[in-house]
Amino acid sequence: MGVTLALMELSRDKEVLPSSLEALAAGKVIAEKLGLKLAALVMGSGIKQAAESLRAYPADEILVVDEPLLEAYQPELYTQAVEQVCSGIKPDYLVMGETFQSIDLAPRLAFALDSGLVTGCVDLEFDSGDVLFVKPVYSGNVMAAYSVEGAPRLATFRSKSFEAAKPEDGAKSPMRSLAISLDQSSVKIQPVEQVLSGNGRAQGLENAEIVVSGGRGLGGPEGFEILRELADKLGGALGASRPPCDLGWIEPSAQVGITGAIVAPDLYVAVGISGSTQHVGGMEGSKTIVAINDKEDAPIFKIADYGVAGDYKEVLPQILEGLGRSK
Amino acid sequence: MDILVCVKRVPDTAENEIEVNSDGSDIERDDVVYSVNEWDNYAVEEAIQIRDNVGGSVTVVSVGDEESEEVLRREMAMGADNGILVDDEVFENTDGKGIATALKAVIQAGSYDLIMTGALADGGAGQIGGMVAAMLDLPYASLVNKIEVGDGSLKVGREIEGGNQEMNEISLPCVVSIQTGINEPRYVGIRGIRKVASVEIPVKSAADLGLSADDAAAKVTRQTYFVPELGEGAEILEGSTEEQIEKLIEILKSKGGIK
Repeated sequence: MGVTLALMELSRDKEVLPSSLEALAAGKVIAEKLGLKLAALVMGSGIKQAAESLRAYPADEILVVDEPLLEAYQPELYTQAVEQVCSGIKPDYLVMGETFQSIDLAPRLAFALDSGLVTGCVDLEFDSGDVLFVKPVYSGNVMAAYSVEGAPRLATFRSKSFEAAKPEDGAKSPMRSLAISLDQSSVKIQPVEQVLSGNGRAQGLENAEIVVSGGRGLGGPEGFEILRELADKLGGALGASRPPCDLGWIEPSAQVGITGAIVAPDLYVAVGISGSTQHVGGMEGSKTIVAINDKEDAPIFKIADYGVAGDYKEVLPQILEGLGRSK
Repeated sequence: MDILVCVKRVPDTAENEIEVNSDGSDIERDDVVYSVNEWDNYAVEEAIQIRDNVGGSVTVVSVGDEESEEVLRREMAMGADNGILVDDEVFENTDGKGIATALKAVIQAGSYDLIMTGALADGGAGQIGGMVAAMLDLPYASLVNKIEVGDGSLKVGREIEGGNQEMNEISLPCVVSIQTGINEPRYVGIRGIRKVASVEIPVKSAADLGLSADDAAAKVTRQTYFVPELGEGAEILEGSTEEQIEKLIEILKSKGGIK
């Protein structure tokens, strides 16, 4: 019987990331449709607790590689470790969440395993026994469905595109430790320092019920001052698309998008944001989206529920005034 | 330092509405405006700045059809010294691995200390840099947002989760994929492009690079394009500014803002 293997990624606190549990859910869909076993692979150092926690999730087996050299992500060693696990398990599919780590790791694995890879998938389709991996391309205007060759076939899944697998009462999936041997001479890139410029904002964004974000259309850092007022008034978190972060108008941790926080609040207010895939991929799960943009043809209006085609410099002060009055 | 930057010509999604053709086999390509992949401009800018500081050369390469020449010329107008176009029908429907194989051959035919790619392009795969590095067994750093040139090595900043950055030591030669925001790509005027209009850009076929159709065989095949169901799109609020604002405030209140 074949196997779908889901690679679990751990946080700094050695907890399984939500995006990994979503990948596990995607893996489960593949396994059920194709009649494969589902296994979760967790790697790291001193990860007994994380491995144990995974046993409550619906998987046929939890595979554990507990190895001091895997304490932190190191590209060559992680590639070797997964490669060795795959040569023993021989999975048909290897799935993972789309994260900063997998963006680095997946292409390396694709070469090491001689596998086809589709990154940033948001959906699966099944076509006569074959899995099609679906993802947005061309700034999200178009979706593309890909078939993949390889053993395993490789895919990463965009955050929040599958509902995370949930622990089941009384479930206790069997657990198996795997021994691997790593060759340190393959190490070519050495982390020397982590610059923790993020201020925890990203986490605040991901849990917020309301997010107010600004884009390049704000024209400069001043624009974020009035946006912050609106966010405060609404009791929401302040975010941004990528360009204002790149331009230094606001700190990088405010970024909402594929390379920032992925959010799905009840209310998302996008101001001066055109709506690139990079950004939309990080907020399209929001329940209600309000867009304010002076360009009537901005792509953001296609995914928004309500739009105001106007200059935020005129619109926001009036909203603030109106909200103040009604309080 | 001799630097090779891999660039791609892509449909400009800021300038076009991308539509799918009737049988879903491709996007509508008539009247589509193309430009350089956004990330690649940052990579070329970074390469030029490094060359200007420490000496050396910048070469830009693209795997594409003859139209990709304009993209190479644009990057040469920015300041790249040389261009190479890889144009062969075997690469037409290939995947990331096929493109990486072509680039690998270009790299092996030359002599480069640093190879750069954009972190992402129109297909959103972000895999070329990692694959090229793996094929050549070179060190690789992804999502690079800072480069300091050292002696025989680079210190590179990698974007990691939560708006944080990881500094890495990486020895040369190596491959890096460049993230936007690392610099501010310079503006290229018509004049600049005119200046390089007659510079000869060598064109390589698969055979020139010692590659066959098998080397370009894809492992990932696009079966279809389709347009996602987006619903109706936004209800654009109408009426006078006051009326719009009033309506908007109502929406903000009813959807959870202000309780």
